[in-house]
Amino acid sequence: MSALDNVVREARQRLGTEEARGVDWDAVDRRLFERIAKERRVERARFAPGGLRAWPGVALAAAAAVALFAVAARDGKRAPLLDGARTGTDEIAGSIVSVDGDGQVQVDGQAAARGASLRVGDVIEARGGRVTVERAGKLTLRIEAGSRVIVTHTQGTLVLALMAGAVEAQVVPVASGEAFAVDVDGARVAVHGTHLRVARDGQRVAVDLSEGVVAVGQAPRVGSVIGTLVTAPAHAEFVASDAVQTLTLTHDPASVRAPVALVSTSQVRPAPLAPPLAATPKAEAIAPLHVPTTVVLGPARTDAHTSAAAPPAGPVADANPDAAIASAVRACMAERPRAENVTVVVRTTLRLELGDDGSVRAARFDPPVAPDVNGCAVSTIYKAHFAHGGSEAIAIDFEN
Amino acid sequence: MASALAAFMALPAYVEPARKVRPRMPDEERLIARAAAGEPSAFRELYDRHRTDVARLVYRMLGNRSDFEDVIQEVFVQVYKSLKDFRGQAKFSTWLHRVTVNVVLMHRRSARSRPVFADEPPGDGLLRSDDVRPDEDAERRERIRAFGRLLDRLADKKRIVFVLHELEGIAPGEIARIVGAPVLTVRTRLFYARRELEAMLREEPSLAGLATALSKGDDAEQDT
Repeated sequence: MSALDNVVREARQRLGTEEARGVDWDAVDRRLFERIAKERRVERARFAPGGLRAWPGVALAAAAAVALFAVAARDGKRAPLLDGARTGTDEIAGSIVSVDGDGQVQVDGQAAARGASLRVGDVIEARGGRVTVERAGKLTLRIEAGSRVIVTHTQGTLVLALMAGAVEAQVVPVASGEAFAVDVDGARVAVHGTHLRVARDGQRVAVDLSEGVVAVGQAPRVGSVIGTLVTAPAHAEFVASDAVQTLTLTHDPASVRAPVALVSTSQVRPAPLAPPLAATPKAEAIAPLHVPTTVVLGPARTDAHTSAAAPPAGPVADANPDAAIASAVRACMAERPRAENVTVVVRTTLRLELGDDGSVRAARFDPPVAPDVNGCAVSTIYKAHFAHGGSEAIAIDFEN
Repeated sequence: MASALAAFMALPAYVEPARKVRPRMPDEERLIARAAAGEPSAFRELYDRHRTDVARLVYRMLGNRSDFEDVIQEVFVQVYKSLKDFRGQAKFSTWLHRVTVNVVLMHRRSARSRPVFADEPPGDGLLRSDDVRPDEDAERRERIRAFGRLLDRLADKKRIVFVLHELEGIAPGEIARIVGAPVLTVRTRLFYARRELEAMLREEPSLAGLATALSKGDDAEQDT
């Protein structure tokens, strides 16, 4: 028997054995089951349909819109070390930077205090007041009076479940993935960088987008949203139980609720994918939002009359935008890592909704492509200008 | 290289440590199913049954660190989150080892970027055996601690398979399922882990004496 075997034999009996017995199990138990209780709340918030739809004092409304496109891998690009088990850490969602309404805003049943950190599972209830939360360098968020929100995810993307009321956020753009998302039952509004407001009244959801791009679709259990991309300015409405089929859009700036100024302690860069709302009134205090009285059920569409009201001024059309976009998408596909001796063949159609000025209002791959291809190609797509409005379909074939 | 290959080819002679077999509790499957369905008391019981084993495994893979208990907690949070995905295709213990290994690897990966307080002296709360003299006990503790330091110097993949096989007594086939690698790869990692540890053993002052003494003992046995 070698010396190593002798040491191993001893270690087998003793290494870690005493330490395992010496663990402060009371402390571990307490922290563990507190976290599990929070996990249960998060699960209920994310997947229980119809949650607290009768919660009182809800304002409906909406604001801005922005597009959605890129949907890139979230939570870092690192694959699980070994499949079968998820791992994670308890990243902070953000810190409360202001509370309006003494005792009217609570976190987990306790009066919210300035400077308090929010974590996964925290329930924020803004009964009579409102609260502003900052995620340093990433976003500033206002939870409006009459709202109830649960923090459901903090790693990489901050995800909130909106149980009632409304939230408004200024989100610093990210190069890939989603910086922020709001879940309303099974639906998700996800953003790269934008100024948006999401409000619900029962199952009806309204989104006002004054800058940038958002994605609207079903909330995935993991990864990014595959849904409809919406560019600012836009007002979108849908029914939470079926966001895809009930989504309606208008890009009339007059329909988009004026954004509230959300001052961040960190620099907030403008969203790169769409210009700020042209005729945005100066930010003002929270006020009842303009909300259409009905939500039209049906496939996502752009109202013709509102498109006609879009700003007439437009940039000069590109010489051959179809070819430029197709080339950019192929280049993005070519950059994807792949094994040697593997041939990748992709056939898809990029369907574009165009404004009257020829700018791209919405884009969708049919069938969808990989999220990182979306993220890679989005800027080229939304920078393109066509000589006409309406719609455009670009067939894209790729083979490496 | 050729000698290493030759040594590896001789690996079938590898000594399998006696496996500590946990008797399968007759109600464990039901308990798992109840816990997966969200029954808090079932999860609590599952936790009580396995927490000490998990703690020992975490310690063996992670070493003596100030965040030892945080990692144990994280393992069971992940067990709670993932239990609904457990389909019973593998033994629960295999699955639990897999979760533990993943959490430890993730933790080590994230911990590399921040300072840690490692290798702290053992606390007074440790249990002591009555049948050894204090100096023997101290020597043994130092040997165990020194061996833990050697383990920590192994690359993650090698350390994991070594701990699972040599210290936890798990067969290579089951380790392959835990780490998601072919059995041959597991055996290769074991081979190189042993070889590196033997080399390190000769360089570790607190273990070198033991290694020398044990080698002499082995030689004397062969001479007789």
